[in-house]
Amino acid sequence: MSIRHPVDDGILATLTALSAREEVEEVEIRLEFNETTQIDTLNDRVLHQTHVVDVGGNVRVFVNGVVGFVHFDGWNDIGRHVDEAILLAKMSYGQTSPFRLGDVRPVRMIQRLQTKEDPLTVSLENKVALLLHYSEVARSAHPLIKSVTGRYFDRYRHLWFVNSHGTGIEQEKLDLGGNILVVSRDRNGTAQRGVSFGSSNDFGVIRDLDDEVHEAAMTAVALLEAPEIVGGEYTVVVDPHLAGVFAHEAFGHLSEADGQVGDSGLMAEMHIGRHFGPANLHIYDTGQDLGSRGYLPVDDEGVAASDIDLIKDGVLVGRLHSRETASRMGEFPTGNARALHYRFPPIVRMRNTVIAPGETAFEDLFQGIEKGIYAKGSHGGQTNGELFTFLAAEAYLIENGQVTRPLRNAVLTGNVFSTLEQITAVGSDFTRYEGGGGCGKAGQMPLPVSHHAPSLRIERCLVGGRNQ
Amino acid sequence: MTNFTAEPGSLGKLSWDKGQSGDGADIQRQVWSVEVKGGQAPMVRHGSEQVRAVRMVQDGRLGFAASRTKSWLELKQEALRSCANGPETKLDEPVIGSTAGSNIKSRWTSAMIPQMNGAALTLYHTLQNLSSDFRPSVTISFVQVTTQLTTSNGGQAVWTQGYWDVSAGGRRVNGTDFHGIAETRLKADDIPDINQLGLDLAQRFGWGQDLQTIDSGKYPIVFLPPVTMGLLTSVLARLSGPSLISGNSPWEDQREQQVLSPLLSIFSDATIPDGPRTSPFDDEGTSTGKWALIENGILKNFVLNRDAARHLGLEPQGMGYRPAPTAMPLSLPANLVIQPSASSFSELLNRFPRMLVLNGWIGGRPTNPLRGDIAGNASDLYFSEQGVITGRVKNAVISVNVFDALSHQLVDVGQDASWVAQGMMQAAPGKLPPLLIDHVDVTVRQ
Repeated sequence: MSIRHPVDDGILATLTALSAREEVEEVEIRLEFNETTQIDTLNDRVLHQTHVVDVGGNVRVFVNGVVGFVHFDGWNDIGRHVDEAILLAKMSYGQTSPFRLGDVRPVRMIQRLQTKEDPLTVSLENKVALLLHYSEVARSAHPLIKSVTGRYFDRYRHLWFVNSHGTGIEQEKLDLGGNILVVSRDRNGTAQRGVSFGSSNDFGVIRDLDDEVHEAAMTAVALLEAPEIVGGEYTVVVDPHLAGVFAHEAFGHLSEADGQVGDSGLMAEMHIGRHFGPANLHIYDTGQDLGSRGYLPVDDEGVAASDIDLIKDGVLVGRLHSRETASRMGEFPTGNARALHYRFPPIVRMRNTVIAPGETAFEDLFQGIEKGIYAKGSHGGQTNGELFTFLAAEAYLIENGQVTRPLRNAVLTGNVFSTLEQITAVGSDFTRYEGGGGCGKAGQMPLPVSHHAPSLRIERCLVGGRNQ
Repeated sequence: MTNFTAEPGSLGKLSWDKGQSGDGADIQRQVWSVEVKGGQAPMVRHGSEQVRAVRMVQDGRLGFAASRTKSWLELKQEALRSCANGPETKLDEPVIGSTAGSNIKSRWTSAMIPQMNGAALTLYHTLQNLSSDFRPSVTISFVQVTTQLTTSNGGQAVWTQGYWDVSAGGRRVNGTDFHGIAETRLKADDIPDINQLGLDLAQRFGWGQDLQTIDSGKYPIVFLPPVTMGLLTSVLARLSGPSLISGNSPWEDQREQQVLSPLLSIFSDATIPDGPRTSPFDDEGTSTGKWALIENGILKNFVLNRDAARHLGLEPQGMGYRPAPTAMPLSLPANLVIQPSASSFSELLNRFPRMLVLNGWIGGRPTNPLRGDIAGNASDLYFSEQGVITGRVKNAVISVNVFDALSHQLVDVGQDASWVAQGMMQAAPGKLPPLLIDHVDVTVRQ
């Protein structure tokens, strides 16, 4: 049975009745219907192909300052799950003071899916054919291309959410993405480069990628001969894709309030009004960018999305909140509480993290760099709040203001606080990048996020590497 | 209201027509956990998953379907339909008898919740005492998975796995200096020793109270188990089915050849006590055991699920595991184990007058796993002089090539192995000792 399309709204009424419990501070009930298709190809054949339907839900309650959380498969006997969540919370001792989440305006809404090209209307055969076509494009580009893997997924979610304060939401969501990974190999070793794509409303993003795939193949071949980067401090120019990862890893995670609350040391450092970076640095997080993978008009606590400025004019002006962190810090929820799946409670996450464009033309970013690194694309990044690392997909040596030759294994890293101060130019080449990966936190991975940014120039960036 | 009903068990309702080939699995996964984190409401969780998954082979192609609510009949029909677009396969069914099984009784009782609460709060308060501005975090979980498997050749097996997982740590922020510590303990029979874990964390916190500065250069480094697991990512990439079948692995023709240091022996071990994947069967119903992948540096066996093994003309050895209940079994090891040696941690520290100890590595994963180049910002790095740890080192990037490090640069293997849990970045749980690797490149911001 499928419920891709609107169904009767008796579900919300039933859940609302089940959430009415006098003895607890808060009750939330979520039901989900998830349908996921995933295809993996290798060269000219399908490696894996799965179609999975998940149906289930969760209950979260606050009782005497303790959270009880239960998740379950199927939709049977939901009242029993509410009872169990309350019981679990009451079994926790050591906490006796009630904690009340801050009031938010109840939201009553039904949100239907609006797509440009709906992946659910594209046959599996056509999806496979597209991946295999790109594989052929890459393999015919050069004889040193050893293998091409393709990955595609789409995930349709139909959600119902109520809380005990009058919110009732029915929502359809879509997430799709993937990548084409090209591996070259010669007697010296292997190198790889990929093309990634993603969207929350358009299967069309996987079409017309021939030129990008061909370029990725040629880059993978060129990287075979690239020498390993020499570790040290460099002036680095990062392209918009990598700049977006930088914003996400280097500052976005630090802005998540669940990492700050209860930490007196960090709160002393992350006070509103603190200077962070150059005067023209503007970083914000938005859930309202239709089509981006970070599009989230209402979060998983039923809070409507708002654009939230994190750094404006080089000054810390905001942070990302759930209802709980906002209550504890005396601020307002920002619509950033997200859960990957009904198996998880919502936690503070980014949506689409954006660096606003600056005024510096792309070519001017390289001016005066005697020896530096131009880093493009990303194989991902990681942070612990203070430190960050991102893995550039491509790196090139800059000599006397000119990009000269490729390098391999560029790992750019640093301290968040000092690196933001070392941004000396923000490019005007603002680019919307939508990849097929995702963000991981507290076991919830990959959560769909986006990052849009211009190129950046960063001084004294620490780059790892052997051959010192 | 629409009603989707999840029903556990009832494998008996899954029947196979003559000539059909495939298997069906009913997976019941239960997780109970208690989380206590500074500044946030404590959380008590219970999650239950009931997944049915069917694989079918038709005309040499593999079909798959998984659901939490569909009937066996619906799943079989869906799996059969998906064969048309499925991958070519050489999957066969294991011979497992009709009533194989072990340890199928649930160990969970509701009395465990107060026990978990008590242990979590005890450890939380221990960590609070490290420093007035230390922000502790403690999670105690019990995970139990019961798998019922039936095959089209009449085999049936039932088995249950259960283990405790305690993850604890926290951090102290002083200005822009984040001093974080974290440890994980796994155990099958009971909650791991909370008091010992508290002592270990206190020792680690003590190591990092002072800051040390070093110069860029090449250093001997003791890689503790969490970062050792990062090194093994590249080794697994060369050993596992997908890279071998695609012809990308440089080790495809290296069986019985020396590929790593003679000091190193790596196993896929489904027999080791306390292992999350310790079980008589893998997720495909293949009998498991302890298999050497690398023995004294010599490549012995690959990591292959049944399909990959048959593709390569080899006998399956029980290395097909689902990364998630709704996923197909992939080529993954059971518990990844490195054979410890006789050298204590103290003896490792005394091998060189000045050396480093690495326990955390931000971004320490390879850009190209098959090539093995890894560099990461050391988030948990200590300096040791004359066998004594004297403080924490910051702003240092550690760079290695995994295959050079585990071949020419490996000096010694420690004796104190500990568990590293499967996670977002780890495809398998591992029980790993420290590794002492010399001439490691360290780049430091001055």
